[in-house]
Formats: sequence, structure tokens, C-alpha cells
Amino acid sequence: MLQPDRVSAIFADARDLHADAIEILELGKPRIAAEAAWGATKRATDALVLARTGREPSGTGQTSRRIIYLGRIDPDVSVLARQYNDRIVELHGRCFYLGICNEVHDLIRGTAEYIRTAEQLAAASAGDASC
Amino acid sequence: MLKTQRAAELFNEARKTGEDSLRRLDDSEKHWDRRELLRSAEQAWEAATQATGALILTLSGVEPEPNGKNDTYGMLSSLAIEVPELRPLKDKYTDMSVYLYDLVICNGSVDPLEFTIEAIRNTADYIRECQRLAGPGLG
Repeated sequence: MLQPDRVSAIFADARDLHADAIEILELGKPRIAAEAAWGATKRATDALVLARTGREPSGTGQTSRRIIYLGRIDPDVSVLARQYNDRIVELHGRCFYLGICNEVHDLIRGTAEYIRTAEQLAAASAGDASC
Repeated sequence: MLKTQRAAELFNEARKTGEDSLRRLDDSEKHWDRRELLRSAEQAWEAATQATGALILTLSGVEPEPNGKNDTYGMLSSLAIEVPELRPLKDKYTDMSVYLYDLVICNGSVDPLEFTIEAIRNTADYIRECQRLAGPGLG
């Protein structure tokens, strides 16, 4: 698959996961919805990293490192990197792992905006950074 | 022990742990030693958590319990909703928990080295910021 097609496919996956998260949230299962929203966050971030660096992260550690790196060289990405950190801690760490889910509803719904921002940043990518 | 005494004690511990972390970092840079750098990162994170605990105790009267109901991150998040001045500190704590704790300490990876060194060195500023927010007379 060509890189632009792969980027689009990962963003589509992120949007699908987010749609699942909203459906699950409306069923009254915020803990499972949070993990789906975290998955959507990670996939959108992977797509942005691929668009900017030409390399798709594999594990979460790679995604985290690369979005932090990209945030250092582009202030617009640094705003997204901050939101990424909030999401990994609240959605994945606290809600899904620990069952502390009181703060996640807005973050789950707001993941749609996170994905849109990542798409805009990917479209604006210079495509020559490397991690 | 009085809560103010306990908070001052926690700030002292945070400063000492932070100083140990920086000494270890300097040693690890002089004679490159990855294990020493990892230990320095662990101490930096411990110092940041101690300072955050002292600040939370000062502001709320409750000392956070690691892995308990009143965990450090949860209590800091709740306080940051009530006190907007704490929001930047909460963001820094979140960023440290992802970088220093998740990526360096738990995953054991120190690359990129300059990020890890910077994160450890920034802990001293973080502790000072906790002390400033706790108000005069503490720390």
C-alpha cells in the first residue's frame, strides 16, 4: 500500500474505533468505551507519525516517543502531544486499567476533535522529519 | 505528626532525592552508564511524586497514597479543576508520568538520550514549582 493510502486507512480505522467508543459509551460502559477511544487516539497518532516521518509506529512506546519528538520540532504538534499524554493516562491508564472513569466522558467524545486535528496536521506535513 | 510538619518533611525528602538523582546523572554522563541513568530517572520520578504529595497535603490536608483511592495523579487532577493555577503543574506531572515513568522507567529505554537527561534535570524546577505553589513557610 502506498504511504498516503496507508495514512488514510489508519485514520479511517481511528474514526471507526471512535464511533465504537461512542456507541459503547451510550450503552453505559465507560470503561470499555475509554479503551476504544484510547485505541482511536493511538491510531490517529500513528497516522500522523507515518505522514510526518514515513515510518508507522508499532507499539505504544514508539507512538509516544515519536509524538513527543514531533512536538519538539512543531509547536502545533506539541499541543496534540499534550492531549495524547492526557488521553493515555486518563483513558488507558486510569479508566481502563484502574477502573477510575469519572473524568473520561468528555475525553471520549472529544477524541473526534483529536482525530480531526491529527488529520489536519498530517495534511500539512512537510514529510521530512525522522525519529 | 502535624500535616504542615509532614508536608515539610516530604519536601525535604523530595529535594534530597532530586539531588541524588542529579549526582547520579552527572556520574552516568562522566562514565557512560545506562543503569545509573535509569536509576537517576527513577529517583527523579520519586522526587517529583514526593514534591507533588507534599503540595497536595498542604492544599487538601490529605496525603496521597500510591496505588490507593487517593492516588497522586487523581488528587492533583481534582485539585487542578478547583485551582486553575495548578493546571500547568498537572500537565507537567502528566508529561513526566508518560515520559519518565512509562517510557524510561517501565520500558527501560533511555533514547533519545537528550530527552531523558532533560526530563531528569527539569525535575529540580518541578520541585521548586511545587514549593512555590504550597506557599511560604513550607519546603
